[in-house]
Amino acid sequence: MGGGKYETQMCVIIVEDIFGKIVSKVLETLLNESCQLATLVYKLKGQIKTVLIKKSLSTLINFGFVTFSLDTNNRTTYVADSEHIQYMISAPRACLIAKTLYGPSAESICIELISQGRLTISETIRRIKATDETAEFSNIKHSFEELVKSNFLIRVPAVESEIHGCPQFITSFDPFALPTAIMEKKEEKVDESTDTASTSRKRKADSTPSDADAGQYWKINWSRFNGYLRDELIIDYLIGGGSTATMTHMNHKKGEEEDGDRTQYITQNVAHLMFKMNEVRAKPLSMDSITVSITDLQRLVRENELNLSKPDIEFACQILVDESDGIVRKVGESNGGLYTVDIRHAIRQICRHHCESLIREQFEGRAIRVMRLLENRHFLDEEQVEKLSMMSGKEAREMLYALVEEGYVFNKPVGRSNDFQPARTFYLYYVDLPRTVRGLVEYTCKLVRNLVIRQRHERTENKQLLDKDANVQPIIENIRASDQLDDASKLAQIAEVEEMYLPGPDRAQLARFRKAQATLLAAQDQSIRVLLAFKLFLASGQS
Amino acid sequence: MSGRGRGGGGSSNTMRSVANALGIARYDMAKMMSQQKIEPPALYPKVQRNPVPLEMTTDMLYVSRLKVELDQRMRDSQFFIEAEKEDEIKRYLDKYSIIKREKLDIDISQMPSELVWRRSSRKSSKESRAKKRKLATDDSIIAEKLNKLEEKEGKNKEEDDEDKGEDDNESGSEKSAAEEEENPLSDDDNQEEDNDYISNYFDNGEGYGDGGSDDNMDGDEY
Repeated sequence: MGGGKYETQMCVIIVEDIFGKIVSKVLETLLNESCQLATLVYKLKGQIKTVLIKKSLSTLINFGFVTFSLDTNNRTTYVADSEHIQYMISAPRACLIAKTLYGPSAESICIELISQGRLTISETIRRIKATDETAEFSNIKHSFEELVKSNFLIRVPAVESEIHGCPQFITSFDPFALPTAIMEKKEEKVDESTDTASTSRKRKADSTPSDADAGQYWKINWSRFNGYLRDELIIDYLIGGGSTATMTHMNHKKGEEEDGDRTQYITQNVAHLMFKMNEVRAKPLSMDSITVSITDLQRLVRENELNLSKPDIEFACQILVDESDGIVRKVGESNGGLYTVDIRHAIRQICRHHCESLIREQFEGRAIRVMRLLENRHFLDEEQVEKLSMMSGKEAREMLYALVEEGYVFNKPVGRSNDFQPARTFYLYYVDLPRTVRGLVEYTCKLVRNLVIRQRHERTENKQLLDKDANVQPIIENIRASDQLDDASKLAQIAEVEEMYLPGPDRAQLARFRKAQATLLAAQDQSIRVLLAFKLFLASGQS
Repeated sequence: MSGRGRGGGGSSNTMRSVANALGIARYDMAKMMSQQKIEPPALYPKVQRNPVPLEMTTDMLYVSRLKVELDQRMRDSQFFIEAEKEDEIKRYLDKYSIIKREKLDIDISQMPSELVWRRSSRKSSKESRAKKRKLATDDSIIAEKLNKLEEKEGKNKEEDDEDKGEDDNESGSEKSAAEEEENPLSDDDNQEEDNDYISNYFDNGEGYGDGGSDDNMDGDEY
């Protein structure tokens, strides 16, 4: 897929960070130009062995970073999917969503699927069991079913046939149908786990499909997660940050608190309910507006056992209509009142908001005044800007030039004569949000790339310290676990061990590294959210 | 400024009018022109105002911790592909720093068949066995040949010394040729095999600049 220079670089860096240099080199070649295996081998001649190229390609396909298809000459062509690679940054966010919605076992399912690319249900259960002894089958299976039911997981299409060495996938199938053989397999699995581990290993080695659902792979349905993230973005924008509620786990507790919070509680929950309405009926990431009526909301309130009466809901809707800059609108009176949430408008507002905060950071508040003025009045020349923004001529001009330089405002020369002589030409300034956002997408990609590189650099810089820390931790754990010592001597011993292995400055350095790492990773998470908003805006194709 | 580029080498009058429009005095213009910088701008220019610090909420902390874990898992997984280091100095500590990875295990049925790397290795092992057999037979052939030549030699013993010398040379050269054959033979076999394999799927001639590239490429694999 076509992406800018920095988008490509970002993808390469992301993959390099998790799969190493060889895979990233193969990916980079594919990102630059999709090609066949032979061409790829030729391009990487002398750099990477053919076996390793094949392995890398298989890995990339396994994770969905590369797709393949037959071209007109019946050769298999490999295409890199840069969108998919970016999901790796939002992977922990997806795990968090799964955890808040469906509990810890849903989270471990997501972690397994993300770190393995694709897995069968039984393999997932086996892997979770391997890491966590306490996990229960029924629990994991139930979480899996829930995740599938809410479309967060999706089936990998099965292979139908093979033409010219390229597998053809089934096109028409239900991607959310769970295999019926889970129960049988589950029992089978119980037997297996009670057996010694060696037998299962043997079975694996023999590659005889012991599971009833072998070959039925599942993967993360990223577009669904992105849809969820988008809804979160919009709700954040509507209600402001700090809303801790998620769409199924409404904050019940807040209801009992004082009145000041009560209004916030009502609006938050109603906004969440509006998006929840959409969850089941629309395709993820569709840009259509959501329409909800008061009766629908009342029904949902009852389903979720929330402490909201009809006047509360009406009140909240009224607040949302008044305060949302036209994102929530009232469209009719049927069913107690019909409201609509304009997704396109919301995305546009979010992007504008980001642009404005960037301008505020780079220049100052007055630059935003100029920007908003131009947005309202479209084409204006310098003098008009100067008068309407009530700034001095020099200030207004400087502001405009600075904005043009940074790509937030564009100018269009309109000549009075054919030769476009500057003295006889109007320079009209205007705002073109999609164009600005396209620039910002590249900028954000660069930002993410730099963040990943920086994080890797920090990690290599502090590798020795981390290794030391990894050595010390088990010792400290041992001391803590030992029964012979009383608490005071335990603490003394721990302090002694720490002092011996990791003296003061080292520990301070380690703490600094940990903090920096957390900040860098959180920044990655936030920037990928912004990137999602920008991309959605561009995809919606509005001007 | 923008007018300057557009004006190109136009009259200074135009430039002045642009400068006037921009509110730049004449001497300013001259000063600016003389002070033009050639060096690139600073890599990390000073920010006018400090960026807003990132607010670390609990879920952001959680996400960052999870990310560390996930990344580490990826790096330790079978999918992290490394080339084997060969020509490096072996250190005692090496064996402690090596991460034990599982063998790369991907369901091949989902992949195009040309990507199967394991089959080719199996093939090559079979091949090598076949090769050995071939070589063995070759040896017997060579031995037969040598015997024949020896007999011939014995017959021709009475003939001229020159002839004898020639014969020796001949047999010697053949011998060395036969010996040489052993090594290239295996490579040839491989090449044939691989060329067959590749031409099955993409015999387009694209990507193969010349015959030589073919050889090199296949040489890489083994």
